[in-house]
Amino acid sequence: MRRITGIFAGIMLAWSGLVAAEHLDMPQGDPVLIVTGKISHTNVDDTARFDREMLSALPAGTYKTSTIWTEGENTFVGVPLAVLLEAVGAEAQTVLATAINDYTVEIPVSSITPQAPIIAYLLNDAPMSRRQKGPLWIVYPYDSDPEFRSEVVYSRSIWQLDRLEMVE
Amino acid sequence: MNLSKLRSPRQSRWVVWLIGFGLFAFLVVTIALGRQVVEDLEQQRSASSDNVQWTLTQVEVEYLSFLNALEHFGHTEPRSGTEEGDIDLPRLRRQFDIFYSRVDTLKSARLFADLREKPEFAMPLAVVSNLLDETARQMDGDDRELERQTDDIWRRALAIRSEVRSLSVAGLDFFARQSDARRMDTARTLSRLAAFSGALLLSLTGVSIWLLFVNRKIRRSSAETAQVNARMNTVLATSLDAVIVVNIDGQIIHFNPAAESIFGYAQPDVLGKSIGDLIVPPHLRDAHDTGMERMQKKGEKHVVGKGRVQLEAMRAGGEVFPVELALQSATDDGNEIIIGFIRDISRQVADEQELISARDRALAGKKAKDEFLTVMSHEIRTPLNGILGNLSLLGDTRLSTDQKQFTRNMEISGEVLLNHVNSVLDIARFEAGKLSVLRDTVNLGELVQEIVDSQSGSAAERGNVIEWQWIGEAQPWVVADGQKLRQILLNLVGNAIKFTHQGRVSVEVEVSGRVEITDVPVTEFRIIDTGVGIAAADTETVFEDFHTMDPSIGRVAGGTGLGLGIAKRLTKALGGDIGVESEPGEGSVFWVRLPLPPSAPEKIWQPVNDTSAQSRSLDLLVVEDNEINLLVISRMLEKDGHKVTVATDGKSGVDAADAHRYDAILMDISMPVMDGLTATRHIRGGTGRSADVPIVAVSANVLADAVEKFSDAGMNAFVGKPISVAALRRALAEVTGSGAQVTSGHPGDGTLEEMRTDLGEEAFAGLLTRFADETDRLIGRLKTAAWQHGDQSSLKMECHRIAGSAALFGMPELRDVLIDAEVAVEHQAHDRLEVLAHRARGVWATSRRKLPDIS
Repeated sequence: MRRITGIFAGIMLAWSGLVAAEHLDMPQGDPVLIVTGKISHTNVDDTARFDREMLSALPAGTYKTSTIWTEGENTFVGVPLAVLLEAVGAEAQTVLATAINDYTVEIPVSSITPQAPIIAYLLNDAPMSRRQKGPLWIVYPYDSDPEFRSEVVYSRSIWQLDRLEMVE
Repeated sequence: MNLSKLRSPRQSRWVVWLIGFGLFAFLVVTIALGRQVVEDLEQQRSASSDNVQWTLTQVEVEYLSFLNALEHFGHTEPRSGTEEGDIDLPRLRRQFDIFYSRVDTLKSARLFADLREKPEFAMPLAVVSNLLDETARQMDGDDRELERQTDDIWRRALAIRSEVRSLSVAGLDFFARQSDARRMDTARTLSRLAAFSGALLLSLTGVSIWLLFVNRKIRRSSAETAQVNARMNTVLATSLDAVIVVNIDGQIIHFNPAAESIFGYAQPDVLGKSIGDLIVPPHLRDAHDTGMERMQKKGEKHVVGKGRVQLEAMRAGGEVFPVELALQSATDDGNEIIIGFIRDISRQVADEQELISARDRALAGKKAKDEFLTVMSHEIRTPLNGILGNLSLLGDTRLSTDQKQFTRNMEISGEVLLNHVNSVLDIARFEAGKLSVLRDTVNLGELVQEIVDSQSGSAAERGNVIEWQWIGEAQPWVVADGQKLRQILLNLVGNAIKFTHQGRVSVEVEVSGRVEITDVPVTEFRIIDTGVGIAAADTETVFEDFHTMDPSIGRVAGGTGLGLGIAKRLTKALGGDIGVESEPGEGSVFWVRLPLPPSAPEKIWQPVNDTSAQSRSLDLLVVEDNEINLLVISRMLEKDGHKVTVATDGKSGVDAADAHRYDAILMDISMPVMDGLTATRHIRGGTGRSADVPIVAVSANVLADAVEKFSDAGMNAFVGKPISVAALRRALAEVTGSGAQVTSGHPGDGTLEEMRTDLGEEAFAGLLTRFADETDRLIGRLKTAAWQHGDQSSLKMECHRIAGSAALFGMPELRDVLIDAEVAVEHQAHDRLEVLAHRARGVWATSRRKLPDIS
């Protein structure tokens, strides 16, 4: 955990230089994630749209953990939610995360740490299909701390994510 | 509190361990249960279940959404234009994927692993999963193809409706049960926890109560301990002995007030210091250090616990003084300590020294007195004898009436003086323990009459009347030591006369009772005077040596102050008692009680005329080894007209007695070859001619038991040495006249002059020269004999022989010394012999000067 913190701290420093540009590229492929609401960096109208490449370009976090929804230990790679919030210049108190089936959960910004959660886009080094809870899945490092094995955290672990909305 | 009810420390420690262990076990169980509860709660909190219900119900929702998406194709109605069909395909695919994903979750999630074991869930899941897998292929296919197959898909999807329903129902039912079971579990754990917590609480309460009890007990016992300590401290503080406590290293940890005053240190100054440096004197320090080291290393204790020892200690000023020390070890908080009790005995030791030296001085004084008495008596008596002898000779010459009176006065004074000297000598003899009691047959009437007669002169001189009488029945004949009895009575009567003027002195004799056990009659003699009397305070002290009355009276009356002391000693020696009752100014009664066994009346020996020779001429045998004695006796007997045959030892005496019948035999006792007693037995036991003739013992040994032995051997009479003509005549008259029992002859008081006359000038001179030569030789031999060992029997014989001659020549001192020397030679007492040899030389030198001029 401490090691992870170290890595993330380094990443954050490096990244803070990049976001200084305060602009987002236009997505080249199909957007997989649309961020709306109170954000300061946008690329399409008032939204920030990300395709797979854009997400991959952002600093990544990796968890090796089991989940209650899968078998055995899996490796998740994704963008820390904190990084993404920074990338879109979010000024929100709450993040509303919505799946393709319109299932929505609230994630208070105060609960977001530099390490957890991540918006995973690789499961065991492979992109996730919709049938495998892809393409995006908010994942916490469940095995590292009992804190992450609570009902609230499980409910926030939303899969088939495709929208984020920043609200007060 | 009864102390005996307290548990022993070991027992209570055991109990504490047991309780501790029990509590620990309870605690472990409680903690384990607590953990389980926490885990249960955690499990419920972390809820691995996610929102299981949501997921399960969502299966059905998403299934319906999927169906709904299919229905958009309008397969319920026959295909009627597909204006917006292209747009609906992605939605169909998305809804399928969502449903697929949901079912996939059911299939693979760990969360549902238990559920999947259940057939009512597994069966429908398999059916649904199957359909989805088949449909997936169609979904992944070409759009047009998919469009064409939607009908088929819809129908088939519709067909699994009840299975999908079963999935949610079975799942919900399972999780409801599981949740129930878990709640029950938790409840059970909680109640168990509650039970254990209760038990723990109870145990803790019990332990608390017990601790409370123990605490109270400890408080009480510590109060007792404090009291004991206070008492102990008071004891220590008021102890007269120093009490010093040190640890095993010898450092002082307690120093009581007595120690402070004895050693001169204050307690605060000495605490923690080494005992050895403070109070052990330098000369004992090495021994002290060795002892401490031995105790520290090996635990050996030589003084500790061994009672009191005397040592020396040192005060602060460096003064070394004697102490009495007792050490005891104890354990204080697990450390060994030594407690020393020290008593300053310097005063006691000084007192003891004082006492010892006082005793030594007293002993030395007494010894000096005894020696002085002995020496003085000899030194005074010898010249006094000379004076008296010469006075007697002077009395035989022709004198004027006045001169006769003067010589008479001088004789009286001389005799008084001689009596005094004899008294002193008697005391010295008593002190030396040389007192033996004779058993004669005595007529008390005659004895008392003699005394009264002899004292009537001096009584008359002081205007006193003197008389005596029997009170009660007369018992004149008794067995007694007449000489000693005479001396006692003479002393008392003399005293009575001395202290009475113009009065009366009466002597009463009375058989006053009997001795308890032996039934011997006790005779009481009372000497009653009407003299000055004795103060009550003096009635005890009058019997002490050198006690005189008021010095003025003493001077008037004269006396050594020894008379009553001697009387008392003599009385005690005879087994009697002596005392006085007196009233100052009225007179005194001195009484003497003696146990005197009655005796048959003695056949009274009719005294022959001492001065006339035996009328009948006797045929006599004289057996005597000492040549001088032999000559003297022979000469004396021959002068009286007897016929004398001589033998020089017992054996030839016996032979002579066997061969010839003599009228009497005079037998010396101590002789070579065969002594007189043996010879007598031979003569009496044999059939010789003189087997039944009277035998007279001639011996220097006048002691009663010796005389008895003579009688036992068959002798008829006894003549003591030195021999006098009178004694010889008396003894011969006795045995030849009646042949009766042995009576004691009185030792002769013959002087040299008498012997000279008896023997004749020429023979006397010869004897004297020979005696002088032999004595010179013997004195020389004695001197060297003192450091020679081995056989000295000839020297012993010689001592005996010359002693006999010395007696004959009127030298009792020389005789006494030589007899002592004889004993010393026999016992090989060389130290004693050396002293005697020296004394013999002195005595001989003095005596020799007094010998008549013979050249």
